[in-house]
Amino acid sequence: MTTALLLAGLLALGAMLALWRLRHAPARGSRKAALLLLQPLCAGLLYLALMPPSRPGDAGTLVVATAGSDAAALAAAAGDAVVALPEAPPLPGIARVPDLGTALRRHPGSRALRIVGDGLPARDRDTAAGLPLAFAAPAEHAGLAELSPPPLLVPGAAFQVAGRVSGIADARVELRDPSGARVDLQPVGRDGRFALHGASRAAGETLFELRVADGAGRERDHVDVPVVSMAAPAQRVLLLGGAPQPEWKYLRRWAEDAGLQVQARIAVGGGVQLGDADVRLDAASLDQLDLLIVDERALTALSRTQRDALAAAVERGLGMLVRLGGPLDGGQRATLAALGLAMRGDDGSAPLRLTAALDPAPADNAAAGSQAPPWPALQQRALHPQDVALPVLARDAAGDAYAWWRAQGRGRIGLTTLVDSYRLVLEGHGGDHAALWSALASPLVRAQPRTVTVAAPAWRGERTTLCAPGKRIDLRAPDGGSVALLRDDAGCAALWPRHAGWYRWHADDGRSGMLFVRDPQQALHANAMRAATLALVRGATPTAAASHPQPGPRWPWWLAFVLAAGCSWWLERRRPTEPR
Amino acid sequence: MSAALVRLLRGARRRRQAIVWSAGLPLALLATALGWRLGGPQPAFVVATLTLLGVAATAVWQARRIDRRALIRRLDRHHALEDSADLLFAAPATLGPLQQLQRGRLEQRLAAHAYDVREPWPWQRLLAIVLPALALTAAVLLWPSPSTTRPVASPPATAGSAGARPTLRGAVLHATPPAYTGLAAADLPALDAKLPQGSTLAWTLRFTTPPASVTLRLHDGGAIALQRDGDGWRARTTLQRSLLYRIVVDGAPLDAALHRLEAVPDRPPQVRVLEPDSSLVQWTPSAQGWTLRFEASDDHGVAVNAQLRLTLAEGSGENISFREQTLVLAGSGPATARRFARTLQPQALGLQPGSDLVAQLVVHDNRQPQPQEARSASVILRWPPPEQTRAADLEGSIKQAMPAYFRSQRQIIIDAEALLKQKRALAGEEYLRRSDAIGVDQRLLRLRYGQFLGEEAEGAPEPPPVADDIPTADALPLADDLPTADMPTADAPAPARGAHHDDDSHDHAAHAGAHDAHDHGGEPDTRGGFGDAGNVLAEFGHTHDHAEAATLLDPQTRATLKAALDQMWQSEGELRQGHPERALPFAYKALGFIKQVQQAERIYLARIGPELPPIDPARRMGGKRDGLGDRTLAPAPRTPPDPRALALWQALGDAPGDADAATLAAFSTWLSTRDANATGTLDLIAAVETLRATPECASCRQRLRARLWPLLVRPPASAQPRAAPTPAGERYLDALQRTEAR
Repeated sequence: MTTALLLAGLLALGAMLALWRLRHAPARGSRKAALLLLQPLCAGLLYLALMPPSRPGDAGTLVVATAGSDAAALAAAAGDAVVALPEAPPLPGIARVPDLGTALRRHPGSRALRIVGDGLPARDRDTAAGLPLAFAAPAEHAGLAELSPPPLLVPGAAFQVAGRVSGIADARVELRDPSGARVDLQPVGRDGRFALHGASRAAGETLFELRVADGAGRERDHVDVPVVSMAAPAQRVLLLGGAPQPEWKYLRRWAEDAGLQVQARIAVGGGVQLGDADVRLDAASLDQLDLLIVDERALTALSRTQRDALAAAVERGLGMLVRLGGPLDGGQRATLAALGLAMRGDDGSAPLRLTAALDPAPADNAAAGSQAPPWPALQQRALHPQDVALPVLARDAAGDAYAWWRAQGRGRIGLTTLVDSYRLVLEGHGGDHAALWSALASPLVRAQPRTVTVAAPAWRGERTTLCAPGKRIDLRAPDGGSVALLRDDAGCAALWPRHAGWYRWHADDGRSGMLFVRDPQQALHANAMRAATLALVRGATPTAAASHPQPGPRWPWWLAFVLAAGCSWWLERRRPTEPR
Repeated sequence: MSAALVRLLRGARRRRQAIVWSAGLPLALLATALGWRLGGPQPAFVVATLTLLGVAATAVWQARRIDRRALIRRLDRHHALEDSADLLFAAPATLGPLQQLQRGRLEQRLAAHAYDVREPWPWQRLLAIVLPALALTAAVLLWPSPSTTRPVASPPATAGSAGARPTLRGAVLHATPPAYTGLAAADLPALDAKLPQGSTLAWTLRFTTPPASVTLRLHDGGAIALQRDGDGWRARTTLQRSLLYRIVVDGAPLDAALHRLEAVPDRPPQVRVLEPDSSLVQWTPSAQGWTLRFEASDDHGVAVNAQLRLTLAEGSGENISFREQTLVLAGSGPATARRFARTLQPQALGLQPGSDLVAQLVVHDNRQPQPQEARSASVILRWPPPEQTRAADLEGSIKQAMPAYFRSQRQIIIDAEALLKQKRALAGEEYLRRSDAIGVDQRLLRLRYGQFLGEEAEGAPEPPPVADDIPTADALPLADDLPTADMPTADAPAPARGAHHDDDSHDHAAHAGAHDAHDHGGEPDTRGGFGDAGNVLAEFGHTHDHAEAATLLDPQTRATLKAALDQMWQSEGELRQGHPERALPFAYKALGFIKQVQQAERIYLARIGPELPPIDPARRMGGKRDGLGDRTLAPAPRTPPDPRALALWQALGDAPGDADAATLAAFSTWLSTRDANATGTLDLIAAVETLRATPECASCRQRLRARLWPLLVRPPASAQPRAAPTPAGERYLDALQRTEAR
C-alpha cells in the first residue's frame, strides 16, 4: 500500500511540475488547454499501468488430476480449467503443473477445487486447505487401508498391530517375525478391521511383516511393520502385600527378572513381615519410588499418616497399582473410594480370558506351529468402578475392561481385578506374564524423560516432519549418507526422505530417534492419500469467495499512457507556423 | 564404347580402389586397436566393422569418380592418340569423314598397343598415412595398461604359480549312498547336495594349472586333504553330519562359493495297525480266529521279517502272571511299505476266560550297521471272565460316612489280655464293666466290618444265593490260595472308559459283559429285600460313586469276612458276659481272617468326608511366638541366556563397524557348539561365512540378522514409563488440576 501511495505521490508531483513548467508554454487556446490536461492524464495512466486495478477473481472451479485419474473421470468432472499434478498419468491435452500452488497461481481466482483421482499428496494438502474442495473419492484400493504400528516398546513386551483391509473378501492377515515365521493369523472382521499380536525380543529395531491373503489363500498385499524396542530406564518398585500369595511371589520374580529395583514387604499376620525390613513409607522414600504395587489388605493396614504420605507422593508423580486379591469388606471399599476408585459389583469371582476363546482357524493355527500350551482361564473379582468414565488400563479378549486408572496430580492410580496371573507362569507362559504386568505397570510408572523418539512411519519422497531436539543432530539415511536439516526453534524440520528404510538420528545431548520410511508403491499409500484428502474435504471451511483479488491486465493502460504521452509530445513539439 | 575402352576404364577404377584400401586399412586397424584398448573386444569388433564399411564406401565412391571424361583426359596424355580420344566416345553418325578417319586410326592404335590409363601409386602420400597409423596401432596395443600393474586380490605369495592362479577346470562329486538305501551311486550335478547319512563322497577336481595343495575346509575348522592323482585331485569321505565346505587351493580359498552337504538321517520305520481297528477286542470263543494286520513303512525299506510279540496275561487283581512268546512274520509288498498279517488261534495260545492276549509287532529297517527298531501299538484281545457274583456295594459310600473311632481287632485282643492280667486286682463289677466295654468295641468293629457285607450281619436282608458255596470258616483255604478278585480299574485301557460314557445306556448286563472300566459295584447282585428303600437307587439307578469309596468283593473274600464276623460275634458275646479269656480264641480267629482278607484283596474303605472343624479365631496365633520374626526374601536366582546371539543381532542392526568382527567371532564360537544337524544351524553358519567373506554386503547382514531372530530369547518385559511432559506442559497440567479441584 505504501508503495502505491509513494508512487501516487511521485506521479502527482511530476504532474504538478509539468503543469508548472507548461504554464507559459507558447500555445494558444485549445492546444494549451489540451497540453495542460494531458499531464495529469499521463500521470494517472502511468499509475494505473504500474498498479493495475484488481479485478474480482473469478476463474471458477479448477479441476486437478492426481495419481490414478483417467480421462473418463476428468471428462465427467465439471470445471473451468484442468491441470494435472506430476503424479497423474499421462493425459493428452492437459497442462502439467509441478504442484498445486503453481496451478493456483496460473489460474488466479480459482474459487473451488475439484480433485480427480486418488487424492492430493502431502505436498499439496496445505495449499488446498481453505479452498472449497470437491473430491469424488474412488473405491479404495484392494489391500491395506489403515495400519497402526506399535509404539516404542521395551524388550519382551507384547504389541498389537491393528489396521483395516479393504476390498478383499474373506481376507486373512498374518504377522511374520523377522525370520519369516508366522506369529499370528487372524481373519479380518466384517468391517475389515483386525488386530494382530506379537512380541518383541531384543532391544533394537526390526521389521515384522504383515501379509494379507484373500479367501483362496493368495497373497494380496504385504507391508513392513516397524517394531522398535529400547531398554527402559531404571525404575524402583515397591510391592506391599497384605498376605502371602503366589501372585506376590511371581510378581516379585517378574520385577527382578525384568531388571527393576524391587523392594517387597509382605505381611504374614501377627505383625510378622516377609521381605525387606527397611521399607519406609514417608515422603522422601516414596519420592524415590517409581511404582508401588499394593493389595487391598496392605492398603487398609496402612496408617493414616502413611496413607496421606502416599496420596501426596502420587500427587507428585508416583505411580500406584492396587491389585485386588480377595473379597472386599466395607473398610477396604471405603479405602478404595478415598483413592477415587469406588467399586460396585457383587465381588464374586469371575473367569477372565485373555486370549480369544475360540481359535478362529484351527487348521491354520496348527500349521503355524503353535506348540505353546493354551492360556489358562484366569480369575478376576467381579467389580467395576462406579465412575464409568475411568480410563481403561487393560481389557480381556472380549474387550471388557478388568483394570482401570485415574490421574491424581502428576501421578496415576491404577486398579486391577485380576487375581491369579501367576498361573500363566505355572503353565508355561512366563513371557506373557511379564508382558501382562509390563502393560499394567507402564501407564502408571512415574514419567521419565524419553531419550529415544520413534517418529511415525513416513513415505519415500513425501514430506514429513521430524522433531529432534538437541543442539546438533546427525541424521543418517539408510544408505549411510548424512542428511542436513533446517530446523526451527522447537527442533522440528521438514524432511523429504529419498530412501526407504530406517533413518536414525543422534543428538549431541545423547538423545536419539528413528524414522521408518516406506516405499509408496503400496495400496496403503494410495488409501492413506485418499483418506487424508477426504479428511481435508470434510474439514474444509469454505472462506469468503474471491479470497485473493487478482491484478487486472496492464496492457490497456500502457497503451493509453503511450497514446497520451505521444499526444502530449506532438502537441508540445509542434511550433506555430507563423512567426511570433 | 568398345571392349578395349571398357577394360581400360575398369583397370583405372581398380587402381583407385587399391589405393584407397591401402590407405584405409591401417587407419581401420588403428581405430580397432583404440576400441579394443578402451572398450574391450565387443566395441573393437563394432569399430572394425564400421571402419571397414567406411573404407569400402570411400573406395567405391572414389572409383566412380573416374568417368568417361577422366578416361578421355588420361588417354589424351598419350601422344599417340593425338588428343583425339573423345572421338572414340562420340556417336559415329555425328562425325564428319575426317573425324571418322581419325577415329579409325585411334581404334587401330588402341587395339595394337596397351595404353596405361591407371594412375600411378602415390607412394609418398600412402607412406605418410600408413607408417604413422601402424606405429600408432603398435603403440596403442603395447602401451602398458594400468590394470596389469594393479595387484589383483590374490594372495601375495602363492608358491610356485606366481601370476597364474589355478582355476577350477572341472569338478565332479561322486556320491555312493549306503547300499541298504538302494539308491544308485551317481555323479552329482553340483558340489552341494542333500544325501542320506552315511553316503560315501568322492571329489575329483581338475585345475587349469597344477596347484601345490588342495584341501576342503569345513565349517567347523576341520579339513579334508585332496590327493593328487594324475591331473586331478581326489578325496573320499563319509558323510555323517551336515557340513559346509570351501575349496582351498594353496592355502587360499578358490572362490567365494560355500558348498553345502546336508546329511539326511535315516528315519525309523513306522508301524500302523490295520486290523483290528480298535486296540481292545473282546474275544468270543465262537470266533474263528484273531486276525492281525500291520503295515510298516520306512524311507529306505523294512526288513522282510518282523517279530510278533504275544503276551498272555492271566489272573486278576494283583495275581497276574505273564507269558511271552514271539512269532516271526514274513512281510509282503514293496520294501518301503510292507504288510504283515497273521491269524492267531487264541485258545491254542492258552487264552482262557478272564485273561488277555496282548500283541505287538516289532519291525526293523535295513539300516547298516545297526537297524532301527520300531514297535506298533499294542492290541489287546480280552476274553471276558464269566459272570461273577460280586460283593455288595458299600452302603456307606452312599450314606454320609461319619467319622467313627473304633478299635482294631488286634487292639481288642491286647485290651482283653491286659484285662485278664489285671483280673485279680480288679473288683468283679469293674472287671465286668471293662469287659463289657471291650465287648462294645468288639461290636462296633463287627458292625464296621459288617458294612462291607451290606449290614447283613445285623439282620439285614440276605443276599441272593450265589453260585459259589460260601465256605464255612473251617473250610476256608489259606489266604494265599484265595483267588483274587478282578479289579478292572487297575489295568483297563483308557478307550474303554471313553466308550462307556458314549453309550451310557444303563444297560448293566451289557456292562457286566463288556467288563468295562467303570465300577458299578455289582449292582445286579445287590437286590435287597422287601422294603429296603436305601437300595432303590442301587437297584434301578446308576450310582457313580467315588472310585475310592467304591467297594466290591468277590465271593471268597465275602466268605472270609463273613467267617471273621462270626468269630467277632462269638467274641463279643463272651466279652459282654465278662469272659474275656473265652473270647480270646474267637478274637484271634477273627484277626486271622481279617489278615487273610487284607492279604487277599485290597479293600477300599469309604473315605471320611472332608469336613474340618471350624477355625476358632480366638485361638489363632495366640500361642507362643518364639522364633517368629521378620524374614528377608531371598532373591530369585535366574540364569541369563547366552548373550552372544543378542550381541550379534544388535551389532548387525547398526551401521557396519569395527566391533563387528569380534562379535561375529564370539558368535561363531557359540555356534560351533550347536548341533550341526539342528534346524537352521547350517544356514546360520553359511550366513556367518558369507558375511565374513563380504563384510560390506548390506543384504548379507540383514539375512544373518533375520536368521538370528529365532535364537533370541524373549526377556521378561519391564515397564515403559510414559514420557515426562515439558516444563510448560507440567505447569499446564498443574493448573488444570487446580481448576478441577476448585
